Amino acid sequence: MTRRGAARCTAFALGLLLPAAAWPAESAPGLAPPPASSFQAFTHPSDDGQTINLEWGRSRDEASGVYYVVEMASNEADYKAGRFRRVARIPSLAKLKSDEKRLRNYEDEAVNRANKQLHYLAVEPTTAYPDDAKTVRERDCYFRLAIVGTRMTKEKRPKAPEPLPEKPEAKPRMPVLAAAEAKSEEFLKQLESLQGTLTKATETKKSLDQLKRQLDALRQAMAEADKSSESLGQFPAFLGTLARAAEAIEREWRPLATALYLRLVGPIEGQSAGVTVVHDECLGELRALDQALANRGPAALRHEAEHWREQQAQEEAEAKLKAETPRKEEYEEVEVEKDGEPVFVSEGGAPKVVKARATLPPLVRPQAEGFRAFDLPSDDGADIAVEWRRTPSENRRTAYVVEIAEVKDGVPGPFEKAAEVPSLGAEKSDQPKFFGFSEANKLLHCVRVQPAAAFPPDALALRQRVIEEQMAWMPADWAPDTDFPQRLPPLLAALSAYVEAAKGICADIEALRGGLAAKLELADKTFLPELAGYRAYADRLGRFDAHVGSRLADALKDAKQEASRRSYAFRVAIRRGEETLHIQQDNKPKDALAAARPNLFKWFKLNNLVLSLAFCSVVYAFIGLARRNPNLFIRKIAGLDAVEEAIGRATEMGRPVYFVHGLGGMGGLSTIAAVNILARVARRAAEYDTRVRVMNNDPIVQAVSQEVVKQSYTEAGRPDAYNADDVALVAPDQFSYVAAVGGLMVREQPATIFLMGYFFAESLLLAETGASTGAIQIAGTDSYTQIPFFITACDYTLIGEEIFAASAYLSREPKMLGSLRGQDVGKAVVMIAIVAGTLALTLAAALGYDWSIIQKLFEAF
Amino acid sequence: MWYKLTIPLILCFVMGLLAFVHEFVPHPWSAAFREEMTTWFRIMGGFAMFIGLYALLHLHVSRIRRQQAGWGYSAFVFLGAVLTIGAGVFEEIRAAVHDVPESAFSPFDWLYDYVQVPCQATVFSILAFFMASAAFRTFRARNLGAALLLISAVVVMFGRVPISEEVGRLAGAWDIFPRAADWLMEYPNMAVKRAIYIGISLGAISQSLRVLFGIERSYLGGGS
Amino acid sequence: MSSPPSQAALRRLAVTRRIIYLLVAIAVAVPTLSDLACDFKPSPWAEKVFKKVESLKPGSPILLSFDFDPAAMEELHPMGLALLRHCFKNDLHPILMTHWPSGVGISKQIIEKAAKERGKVSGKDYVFLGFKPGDYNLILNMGESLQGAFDKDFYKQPTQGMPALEGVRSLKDIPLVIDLAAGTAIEMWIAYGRDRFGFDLGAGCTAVITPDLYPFLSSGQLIGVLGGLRGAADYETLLKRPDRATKGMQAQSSTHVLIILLILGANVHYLSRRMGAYAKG
Repeated sequence: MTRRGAARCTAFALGLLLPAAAWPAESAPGLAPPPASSFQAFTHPSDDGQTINLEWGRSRDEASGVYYVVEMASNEADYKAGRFRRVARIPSLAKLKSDEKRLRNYEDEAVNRANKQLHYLAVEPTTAYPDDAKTVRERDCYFRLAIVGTRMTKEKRPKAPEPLPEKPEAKPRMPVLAAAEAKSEEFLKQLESLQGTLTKATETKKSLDQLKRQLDALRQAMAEADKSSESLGQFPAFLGTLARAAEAIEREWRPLATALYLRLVGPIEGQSAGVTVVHDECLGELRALDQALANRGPAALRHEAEHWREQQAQEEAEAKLKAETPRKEEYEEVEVEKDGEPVFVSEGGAPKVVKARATLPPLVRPQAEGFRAFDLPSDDGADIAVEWRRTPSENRRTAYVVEIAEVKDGVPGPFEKAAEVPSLGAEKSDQPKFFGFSEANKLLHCVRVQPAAAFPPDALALRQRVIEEQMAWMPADWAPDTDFPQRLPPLLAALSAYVEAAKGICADIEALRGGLAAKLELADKTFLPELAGYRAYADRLGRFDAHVGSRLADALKDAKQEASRRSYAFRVAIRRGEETLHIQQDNKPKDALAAARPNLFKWFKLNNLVLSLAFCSVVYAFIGLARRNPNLFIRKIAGLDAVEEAIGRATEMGRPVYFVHGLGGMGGLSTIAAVNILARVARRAAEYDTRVRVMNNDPIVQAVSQEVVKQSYTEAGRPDAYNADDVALVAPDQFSYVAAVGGLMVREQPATIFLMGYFFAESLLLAETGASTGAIQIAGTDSYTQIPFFITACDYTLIGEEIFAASAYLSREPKMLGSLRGQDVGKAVVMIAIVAGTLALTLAAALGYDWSIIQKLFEAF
Repeated sequence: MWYKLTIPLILCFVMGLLAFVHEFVPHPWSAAFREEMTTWFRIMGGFAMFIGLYALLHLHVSRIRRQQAGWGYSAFVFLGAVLTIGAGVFEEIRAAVHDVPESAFSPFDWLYDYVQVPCQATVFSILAFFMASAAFRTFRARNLGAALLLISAVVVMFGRVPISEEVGRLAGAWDIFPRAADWLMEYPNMAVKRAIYIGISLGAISQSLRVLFGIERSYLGGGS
Repeated sequence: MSSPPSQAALRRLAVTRRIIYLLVAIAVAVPTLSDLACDFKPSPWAEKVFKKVESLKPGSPILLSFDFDPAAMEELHPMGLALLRHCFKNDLHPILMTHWPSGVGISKQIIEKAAKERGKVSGKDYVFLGFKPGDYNLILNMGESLQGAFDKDFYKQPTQGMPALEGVRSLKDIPLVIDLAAGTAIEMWIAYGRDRFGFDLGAGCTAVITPDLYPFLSSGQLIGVLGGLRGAADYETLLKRPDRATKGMQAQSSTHVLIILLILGANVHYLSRRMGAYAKG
């Protein structure tokens, strides 16, 4: 091995070594606490009245395994007596003040830089003293701070009991009497439940009819009032009242009608199916009971059932006792982290104590300046963006409420809540896709509102309209009957009779020997046909519903789009508990008006478009260049150079050439590239009078391959040699394809195999089978996961983009060579961009500059 | 004839351009167009199955008729097709005529569970044997590159199985091999994969441009 | 270009190949038929999936998409079974579906087996929706309305009003989706499902495509991944219910070790021949 090789191996081996973990620091004597002057409590406008803010500076001894400990005394007496309680233990490298979102200053970066040198902790007195929660917030609390190191020690602890392995046990079969009773009861419950649902349906229908009657009566009254209009001075108001009442009743009637027709169908059908299943099971149990009664007699069965119940009770008691009995404890040795001696922040020789109380500052109203609503850019017209400036009162207990109202004739209607967002969230800078990376975005909140979600179209009305439209032209056996409501009463009556019969069965099970099944079957004759008929109807209704559903989806989409185009007014308020403050102008809530519009361009994809067009221009330019200078240099691609010789080898050996397409469809680029290679291969094979067999997996690819091969044979002057059966669809399924092609390879022993296209798991199967026949194999794929298999098993492999270069390489056409050169230039640009970008960002990080603009330019959304 | 070439090229260019434009246009018309095209594509794919089926039947019928070598396999293809189609049709008729309980015997399911599933699983399982023979045949330390490939393959193969944890425990760190394998997969492997994907993507764009602008025409059936 | 291999070379290769196949067969069969066991620690990504399922409250819905066919059964069938056992153990309401028509039979097998063990009832404790074409369109439709996309389940029961789907109107009401895939379905679920409708997405896949998912793990688009048979064995270990996958790890271990030994042996032979030739000059 050369020196260079040794150096490379050493570097590789070193690179393989995993970084050493940072082990926790042992507790070291003399840990330096932070400066006493930096340890203080402070208030902030965003305080929520529940917490006390503490801050302190950084210690020089901060490291992994070193912690800050904060102790608290909830009153003066405890403080003087030294009764402090530990309320927090935080790693010394964590909890910097600059990490706390609500303390971040978006207008003065110097404050944020200063905060990086401070630790911060919010203490909730009620959490630390839950037993004193009612009063602790109203008193001054006392805090002291210490720094503490840790060490690992071994300790004996009780071992956690091993949970028993989960193995579901086969449930023992119940005695036949108990089983029959249980199943009959279940059956009865199911019937009663079905009865309940059907009764609900009947009641719904009753309410429906009642409402319809009321509506008709109102309409009648309106018509009569209309006739005597001339004599009534107050008539218009009266008519208006009638019309509004009619509208309200009609609004109530419509959902009931739809509910009755379609919404109850599902549960009823589901339940009736369940009833039938349980009915079959019950019948089975009762027949078994009947048999057992005949064989053994009722006394024996009763005794067996009682004995089984006693056994179950005993087992349950034993299990309960086992669970309650404490297990013998076992111990194990574990390593635990133990704190060392705390070193307190001191002042004047004693631990420094700061005094503070949780205060609630007044809620600050958000400013009118900066509050606006506008169409969200680069979207499909469904969203409106509402933005406003940040306020000092933002904390985890305040929220912003966005309200929306529809605007009609320039006047906003009643406002409704459109969104409520935590005040510490919903920042405009969180959505760079739509608003970019400007620093000014950090000063604003922004919420996207979908007007169609806030004012959804009347789905029920739409459904009704679609139902009416569809019923007008549907064939009779599709549309629901109008006599459907009349079907319910007879079903209900038959069901009630059935329930009574079933109740009788459950009450007197022993006396039914020889008559059990017969009685049930008699009841079946009345109920089951009704149920079957009903189920068939419900099935028809279900089909109609599915059809309506698909039409309704289109109608809803159109309605939502139409709803989105209307004008809306927005208001924003900050809310804390019961207190709400709206953004105001001239002492009244300020309204921002906007309407959503579909946009024509996704601006967040501008960088993609620019880069794509630049790349296309480069390719186009090189195509033009290649026309003028056809002698462009292309590096050697061994696999493509070997194509001619491989075909020649097959000719010499008198064996066929196989061309295996892989599993891609004609839409795949690698399949198109493979077809290009096939054209050249087929032409050369035709010239050498060698048979080419093409193995296809997809019918469209097969059709294209047939045309390509036929054309190639014609161009070679051998149209007679073309055999359509040689370009066959082998199998459309992945492993059937493999089995077929593998079998053909082993039987026909081709001399040359081309594996070109997109492959999945079958790649190694095909390549290894081909290798076993001694054939020379040339593979090409853009499927990254299969490339290693081809490299190991094939003689030549075209990796990735080489397959796309094949047509240009083999044909040497100037236009194609030019595009290849353009592609290479594009690759060079990408390489330079990666290297330069990485270097630039690394330099920026080292020097403390913010050059994230470089990253943002290439951001993909 | 000129229209056999020109019309497909124009269609290809127009549809390709529209698909490209769709990526940058959020308007609902663009989404509706894309959905419509996808539906039509699926319909065409359905019809393509008929072409495939005809081609398959034609191939095997001619093999049986000419009694070519291996014609028995072709007969088997027909047997399998007839059995499967027959089982499916029988079940549909049975379900339409009377209610069939869930537990009833289903010949179609039987063929799936006891023929198709084991056959596919068996063919896939052959991969294990082929992998062993391919690895034995080709992993030789002929040069530095091959040696590195060999070491990486051994580390990843060993790190992925539980026995490496037992061996690691003996050496004092149970997870050394799994971590080494993960490191190889997450860093060098990922870097190379991304590089290959960048190359493939640029090659694909270039190929697409050649197809869109009609420079590449072999897929139309050859001819210039 | 290499010259065609001689007949003798081909015969030698054929014999060597058969010996290797025999050794592999023994390496797979012996551990499978014996009771050899080995302990292993589950991977962190498998633990993340397990913990996420464990954190769901009883009665919560969970969507499982089994997008694989019989070819990937050996790796993904034990994974699916372990997941469903976990769901039923914790009284979750799994909703099972598939994007692959050839995967319906396997999915049905798995869910019926897991349900039978615990006495769970279709429609009440779980839903098997079956297959529907549409790929990403189906996901988008499910995001608007689940009952609209699947108006009936596989057993032809209407999904409207089904107890197992109580409170579930669309994908937005489902807290966790786990996709077991042998192809590119996971990327589809990320782009058209998770990024639009905001649920947590876990994945299970064949070992060969597991590396493709690492970028999604780093970006947080996937909460965890079960990779291949090892992932299935990890999940069985976490569930404390060792089954086929755990048993398969023994065979996998022995086969990997065999392949490594074969490679090392072949290299030792190769290097010794080279050194011999070098020494001869």
